[in-house]
Amino acid sequence: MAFREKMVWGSTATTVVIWGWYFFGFVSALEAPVFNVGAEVGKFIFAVVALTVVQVVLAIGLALSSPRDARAPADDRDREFALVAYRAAFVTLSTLIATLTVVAPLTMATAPAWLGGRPMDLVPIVISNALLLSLVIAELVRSATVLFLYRRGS
Amino acid sequence: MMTDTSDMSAAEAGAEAGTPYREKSAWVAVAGMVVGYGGYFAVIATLPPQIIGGDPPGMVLKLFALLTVATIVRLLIMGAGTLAIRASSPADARAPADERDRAIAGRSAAIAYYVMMTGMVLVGMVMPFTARGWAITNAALFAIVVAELARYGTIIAAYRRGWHG
Repeated sequence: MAFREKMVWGSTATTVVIWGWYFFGFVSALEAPVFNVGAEVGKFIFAVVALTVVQVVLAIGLALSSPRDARAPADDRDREFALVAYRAAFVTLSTLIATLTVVAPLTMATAPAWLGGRPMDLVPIVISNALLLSLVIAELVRSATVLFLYRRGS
Repeated sequence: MMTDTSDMSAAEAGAEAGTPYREKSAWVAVAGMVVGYGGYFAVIATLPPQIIGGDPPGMVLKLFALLTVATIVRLLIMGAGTLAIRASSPADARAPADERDRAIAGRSAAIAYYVMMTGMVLVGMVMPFTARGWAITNAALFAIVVAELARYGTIIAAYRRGWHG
């Protein structure tokens, strides 16, 4: 398996596990009777730090295991795969954000109904997490596209 | 004097005769974005901060209607512009994208992706602590517009300056 493909596998797995943990916790917190903003911000910061640390450690580990591959510059194939993946990710992110800009006003307008007596401060928190989820999905689409192209071997 | 086009891409060959189709298409898209969403943000800029920063009753539907009008204007400009440039250069419009076109499209999308990511980090992770209501929605929309303009701007610059993506 190519070094860059291993890196993408590692990054994808890390993203799925850490952001999966964060969003699962966020949805659980929303369903709870009381939403603790401080705890959720803490989890978010932890997720960002953990993601950074794990990915750096992973990159160092992979580079140590195959130093020659790690030093090799990206070839035409690697660059082409990356550009194709960026297009897929950009289209995904644009679509998700455009959808959110339409849904967000409706979410705000109907907030009193779905909040069920909880504070209105939850609305921007939900919207910001939806934006964050869009970023994560776009990154996963980018990784999945690169992995698909490497697997297909074209 | 004859021009040797044997090692030119279709876009370069098209550029010999005039503006490449894909560059014209990018200009049309820029015009649609600037007129449609420029108009939207110009109206928004005239509204008092307490309206944009809060959620006064009834404003949601009005702003939503304004956004819909801006999107329709954008789509109308893009549709009419695309039809016009297709009519003026039908052969270019039918030509499939070559390697350079694909590289330029990929590079521009990569730049736009990072612009949008940066915008979303600001909108999604900073603004909730400093802003409320429509301000967040408008900032997200603004990030999309800036990212799209970065994409089309890169495409136009690439064709005009002879970049290869």
